[in-house]
Amino acid sequence: MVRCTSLITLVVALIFGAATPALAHEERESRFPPGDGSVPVHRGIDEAADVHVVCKPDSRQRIRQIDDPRLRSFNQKLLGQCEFEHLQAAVDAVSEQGTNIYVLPGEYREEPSWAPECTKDYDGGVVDYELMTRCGEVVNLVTIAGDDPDDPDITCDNALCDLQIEGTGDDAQDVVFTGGFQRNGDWVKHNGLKADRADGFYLTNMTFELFRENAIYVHETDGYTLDDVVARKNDLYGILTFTSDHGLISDCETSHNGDSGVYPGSPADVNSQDTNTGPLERWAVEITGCDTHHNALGFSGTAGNSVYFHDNDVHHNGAGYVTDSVVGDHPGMPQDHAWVEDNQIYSNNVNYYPNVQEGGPCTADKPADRGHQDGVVCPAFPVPVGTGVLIAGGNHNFVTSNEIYDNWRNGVMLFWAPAAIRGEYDPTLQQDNPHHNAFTKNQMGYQPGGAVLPNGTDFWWDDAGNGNCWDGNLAAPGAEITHNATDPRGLPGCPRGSTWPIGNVVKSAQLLPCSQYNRESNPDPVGCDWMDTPPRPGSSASEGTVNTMSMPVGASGIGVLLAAAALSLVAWRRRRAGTSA
Amino acid sequence: MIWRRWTWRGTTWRGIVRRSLAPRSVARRRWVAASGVLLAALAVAGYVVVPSLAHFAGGTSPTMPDDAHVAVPTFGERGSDVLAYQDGDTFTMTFPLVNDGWLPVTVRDVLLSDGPRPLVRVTSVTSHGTPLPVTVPAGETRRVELTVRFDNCRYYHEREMQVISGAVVDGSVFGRDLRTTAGFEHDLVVSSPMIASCPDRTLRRDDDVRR
Repeated sequence: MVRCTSLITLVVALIFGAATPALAHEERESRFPPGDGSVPVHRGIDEAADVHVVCKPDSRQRIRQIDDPRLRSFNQKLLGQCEFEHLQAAVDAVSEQGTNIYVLPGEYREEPSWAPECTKDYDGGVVDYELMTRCGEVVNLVTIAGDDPDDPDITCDNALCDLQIEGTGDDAQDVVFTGGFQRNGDWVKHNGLKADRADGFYLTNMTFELFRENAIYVHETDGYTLDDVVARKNDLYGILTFTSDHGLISDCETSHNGDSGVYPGSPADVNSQDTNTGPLERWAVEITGCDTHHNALGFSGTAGNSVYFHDNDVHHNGAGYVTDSVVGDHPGMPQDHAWVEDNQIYSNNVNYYPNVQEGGPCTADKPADRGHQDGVVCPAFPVPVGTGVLIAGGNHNFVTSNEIYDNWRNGVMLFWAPAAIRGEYDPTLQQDNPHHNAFTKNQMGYQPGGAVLPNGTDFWWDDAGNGNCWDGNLAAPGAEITHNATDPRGLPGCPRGSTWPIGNVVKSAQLLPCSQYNRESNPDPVGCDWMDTPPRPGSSASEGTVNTMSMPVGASGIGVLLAAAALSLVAWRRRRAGTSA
Repeated sequence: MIWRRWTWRGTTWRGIVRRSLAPRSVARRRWVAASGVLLAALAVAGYVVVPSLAHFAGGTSPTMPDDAHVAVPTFGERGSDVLAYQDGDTFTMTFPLVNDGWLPVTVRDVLLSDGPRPLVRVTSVTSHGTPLPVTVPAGETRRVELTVRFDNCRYYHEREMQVISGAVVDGSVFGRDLRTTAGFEHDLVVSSPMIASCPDRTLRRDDDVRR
């Protein structure tokens, strides 16, 4: 009966969660696009409806340094057509859908976007879409807004649809867009490039750095590709997409960002009705070939739904891959259906939290004095340092065939996030996660070459949820998979998985104190150990209580969990009785 | 002559008496002085200790309108009551102050946080409908009603929560100021909303410092 009720609850949550528009990251209310678009592919110059070229005075000199003679020749040809010194000017000049803009090697600051007349009255608040079309410069260095604000839909319908912007250097670092700082030490801009309702947008071979929020931001867009881009040294995200669909992020490099390197937040919830757990036939965004390192989080996605994340390197961050149902007002809650396969997720033990604590560089008054330009990271979000994969409340996630090693706290964490903390107060929704997550065939605690580099604990779980299962995960020769399951028989196996929705309160107790983290006002919350660097596994300081298992058990430990729940209930009732007496 | 007869080893009777009395007098004076010091110390200690003899029982459960919260008993070590932040909304929270200490306490104010700019700000407090102060005799209980306003989200980022473990009580005991906490049975948890639900917040991430 409990299971049945929970299932109904989950279905109701998914239905209503998918239908409700909500608010974006520090942004306007947002909703999913219709979903009838497609992932754009690269378009050659001969296929373009129109061509614009952007260059700098020193582009000619930089082109001479291009190694590839064909590419050099192509650049020299484009140089003769160059009409624009700033990308925004070229965007504003686009008159036909399907235009290619080529950006020649150079360093771009986009000075005309810094403080145009239209920004004078901006009060720092929410930027609605109408303002985005009229004066995107209030927050963006470059704005591509493809929808007519006067119509009721969010579909791209102006000349900026199917826009392709391509850097023409040897690699992404030959064309660099820098936000940086004003003379008064404040940031120049919130975002580097924002593609807003810009269906069919294609960006390639460029670098964006030093923005208050996001280097590259795609919003309410159906169909986009971000290929071979570098996004680094931003106060929040390298690449952020929100309420978008049909996305491809490939061969990117993201580093030194204060939140995550790559963040697909609230991608279209296209599998919300699917009761299967991966692999997916349809996804909202594919992320592949990316190298994300030295960020507070390598990857994150609140309501990171239908994300196909494969063949990426996620390493030397504070935490690796993080997805959650914790933060409110993200469409598509609770999070569901990520497919995480064939990634290397390792050595995510870099502790940036001392940077925001007393005496740290991030406590400097002016952003320019904090050292972002030198790679200082000021973490904006609390995560347990030393974690490879973290699922804080999610359903139907499929984590398979990854190599997860040398994450000193935990290889993978899965725990419950009550709906109330994301602003859903219906009592029947509180247990709507984590359910039906599967962890299979992952190589835990050793490098591809075989070198043993253990995780603190391979699998950490708070015992919560129905249908969560572990199967076929591999440990190094002679070692065993480590975990913290309460059931003495170990982690439940697939396909049946766990059968009890209530978690272990003691295990998940850290979430509450850690949630009070604020990098300015509460950078070291009392009772939270997430900001402490865990000891390297195998060192004397790392001795702790973990379980090991050779194989996952075929059934969940319902008896033990029932007993634990009964004890919790007794204690709860005693406390209530003591109070009323 | 008689005195001579009463001399002993050349010492007069008077001298003997004086000698015999002299040490006792010093001792008495010392005793009196020591007693005084001890009494003063006790008085000072009592003055210092008085506030610690005042205590409100923990484990109380606030009552509030259903649409202001949801109980999540398995979240957090003590269970949680998650408050539904709606910027500017007010509601009434009621709970008993149970004086299980040895001394009567005069309550002047009740807060839900002693930090600056709380997300849940108390705008007024009454006890049984009467404005504070109210005296809670030892061993007795007084109900307090807090008018609470969801406020200050402008100083929080959108993913931040505040946890309230009990009510902060400001008052006095025999003239001594007192600040103590009456713990709640469950933590009260409140999340800061996103910017569009928080009218005064700006997009500046370092503009939310609480001072």
